[in-house]
Amino acid sequence: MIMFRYFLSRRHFILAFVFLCFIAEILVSSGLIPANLVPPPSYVMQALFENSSEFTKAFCETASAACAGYLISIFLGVSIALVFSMFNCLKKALLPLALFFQTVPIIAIAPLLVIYFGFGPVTVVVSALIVSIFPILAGTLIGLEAVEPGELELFKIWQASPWQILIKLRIPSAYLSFISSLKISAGLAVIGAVAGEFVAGGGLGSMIDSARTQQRIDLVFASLFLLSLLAIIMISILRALNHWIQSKRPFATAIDL
Amino acid sequence: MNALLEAQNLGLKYAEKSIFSQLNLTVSPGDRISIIGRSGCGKTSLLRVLAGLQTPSFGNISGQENFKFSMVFQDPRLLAWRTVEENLQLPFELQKIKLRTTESLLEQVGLKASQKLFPHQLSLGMKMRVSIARALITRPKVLFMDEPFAALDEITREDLQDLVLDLTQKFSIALVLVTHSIFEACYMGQEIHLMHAQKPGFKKSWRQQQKSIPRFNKDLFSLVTEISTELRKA
Repeated sequence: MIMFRYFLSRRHFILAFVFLCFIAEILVSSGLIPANLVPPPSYVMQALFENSSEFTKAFCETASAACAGYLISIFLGVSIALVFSMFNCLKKALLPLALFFQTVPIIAIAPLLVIYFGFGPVTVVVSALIVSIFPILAGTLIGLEAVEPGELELFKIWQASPWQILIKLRIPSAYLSFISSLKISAGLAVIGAVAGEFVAGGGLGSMIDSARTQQRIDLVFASLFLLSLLAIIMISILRALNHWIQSKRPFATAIDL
Repeated sequence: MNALLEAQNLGLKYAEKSIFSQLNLTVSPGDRISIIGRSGCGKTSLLRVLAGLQTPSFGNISGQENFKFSMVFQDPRLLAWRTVEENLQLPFELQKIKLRTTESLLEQVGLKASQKLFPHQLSLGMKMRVSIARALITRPKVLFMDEPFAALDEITREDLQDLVLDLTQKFSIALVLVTHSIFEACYMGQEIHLMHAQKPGFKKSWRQQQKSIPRFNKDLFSLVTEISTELRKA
């Protein structure tokens, strides 16, 4: 029932997706687009089913590494943001360093991660973590600091301590900006995990890598499809969680991810 | 009776520009004081200085440190994630005082049925009622109000004016109201002070003996006309 309602609420997207696949199928089979550049969607589906056990295994590997990196980055990002919001001098000293995670391309430091953490899932998790932590840190910090001045004044009238202001005003006010940053980071965690897998092996990342060397473009597209599916699943869980929380406590009025 | 708050020779400068100067004001228990003036004459700044939210550039205020006050602003400033009841309990939580029951006060402001609702489920008038109730629940000695009814419709405004007069008298709370509505200043205040930008002190002050009953009476209207003429002269 929930699945059905979900599909119903997403019907525009699903229809558009089916339609685009249909167009691609026609364009490729009519020869307008060469089949060795874009595989017809039917080939991609076929590849998915023929190699379903490998794809399932790879999907689970990538999903678990991306989710692990994502969860750790939520924990670390929020903790650092809380500390920064309480100690301004620490923020001034260290926030520019945090920018490092945002600006250095992950593909450039991924080989370094292999040296530190070896081949395998740890490198993949760390790679996902590095890519997804900055938006969470920045988003949470902005939320903690962007408190309504009028509400802050009220708390001062009642002689609230900085700790009380943090717990009862800053954290609840940061919710909206926190949840939006989670949405951005969900997609980034998947990107980070794949980049990690390119160098450290395993999951959909290495499947893309080996399919590329074999010129199996249908396998590459099948992997890409699964990667977007992974990001969509993560964001859908986030949406459901947000709806549930907002129905209990309206932290921000009328937001929809 | 001892004054709760005594401001002498009060002045405020902001970026070398004088907002107001040489103001004297005494607030005694049970007083109802209206401060009126055009937009930008420094009414709100004066209120903030009196409430201790801003430090004055000149003069001194005595009694500020040992009296309890509350403030109501033009916007209700309710926390969106707390129910009506929880918003009312906030001052107690912050000051770590034992929770006083909110029910009787909610009944007096006509919000008993809404105590479990969140602010976004209330009309602006209802939010203002919560805001007023929240200001009164700590039983302050002085209630500062900064154009609290400016954004409300006429009927709601009249209801809330009467509610504030009623409750402040019942709990013997002194009221200091800043407004740009001449009628409101005359209806709510026993003491009415006219402020004018760039002029030291209050330009003129009036005092009336009793609360204006009924709402629309001849004395009140002649006072409104007088103040209006005075405001236009400025």
